[in-house]
Amino acid sequence: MTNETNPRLQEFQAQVDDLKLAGGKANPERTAVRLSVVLFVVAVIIEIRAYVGSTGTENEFAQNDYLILAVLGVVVALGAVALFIRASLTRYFRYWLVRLVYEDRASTDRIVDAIKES
Amino acid sequence: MTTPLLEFRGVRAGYGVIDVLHGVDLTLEPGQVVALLGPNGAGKSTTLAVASGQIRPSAGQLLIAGREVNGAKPDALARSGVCLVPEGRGIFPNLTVAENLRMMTFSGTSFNEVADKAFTLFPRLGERRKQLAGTLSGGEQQMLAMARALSTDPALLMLDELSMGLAPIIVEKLYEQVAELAEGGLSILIVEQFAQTVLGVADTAAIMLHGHITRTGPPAEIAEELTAAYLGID
Repeated sequence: MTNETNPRLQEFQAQVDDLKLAGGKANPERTAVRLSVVLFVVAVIIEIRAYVGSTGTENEFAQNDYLILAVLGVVVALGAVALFIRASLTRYFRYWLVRLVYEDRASTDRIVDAIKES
Repeated sequence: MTTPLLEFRGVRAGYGVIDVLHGVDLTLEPGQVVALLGPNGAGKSTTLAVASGQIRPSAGQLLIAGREVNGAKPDALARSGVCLVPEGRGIFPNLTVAENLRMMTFSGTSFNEVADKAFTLFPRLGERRKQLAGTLSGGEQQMLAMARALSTDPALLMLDELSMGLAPIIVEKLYEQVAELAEGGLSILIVEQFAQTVLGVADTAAIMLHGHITRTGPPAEIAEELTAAYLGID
């Protein structure tokens, strides 16, 4: 049977063609955790650069620029930490939910078995 | 040349950091019945989870009706006609048979149509429409799971371990039903650990081991190689 001759398959083909795809990335939490680690490393580099730069000059204007850079580094670090916590909690709660569903099913099966045996 | 209804091209997928599928290639043509066989832990159910959109491939391509659908949501795939009967049947044990069928009206089909179709296919369910699904026998629960799936008029039906926990005579009857559906032109991917009955209705069979499809061919040929494959004998 070909796709062209079966109306249901033609309809199915049209519906699949209309599907909206979310992008196809597997395990978004893992990507987010990796991104947060990279961001944190970048933040540390920014802070070191700001420290080395500010201690290496007596020009107050330049020190102000390094101060701003240091604040930016703190913001990036805080963002990285927030992203890490968010992704880790999402992963943890997903497994927790799966576990709850599994235990609920197992519990129902046990109850049904007990009813049948009684 | 027809477009395959379902195609895996080098699909890798898994759970978190653990990859279960290590490059799966599998094709299901329209109107075909493919049996995917393999021992426990081979990755068969994960393959179905990927095909139904529950797990996104980390690499490779999942194509449905010729379109790459990596990242499609499972509810969107279900609405379009990709239907999975999961291992353990996936019914609501605390709801009655009728209430379980009512859950399938999500696709816009009226309850009467869903019930008519289910009770025509499986008259025994009609007799037990007010009974809690959890108190049905294993075979009746599997009938309910299949009835729920078929009520949505699927284009692609996937059955995960249909025979699990059922008496051989019940399994035989269920596969007679599957054979009738296949004769009607429905494309079916069946995952089974125990192969004898399913090979009778399949057009093609594939053996899966350790996340790979190790062999694909006519059921008769596969049947001869199955024991050796399960035991790891070359």
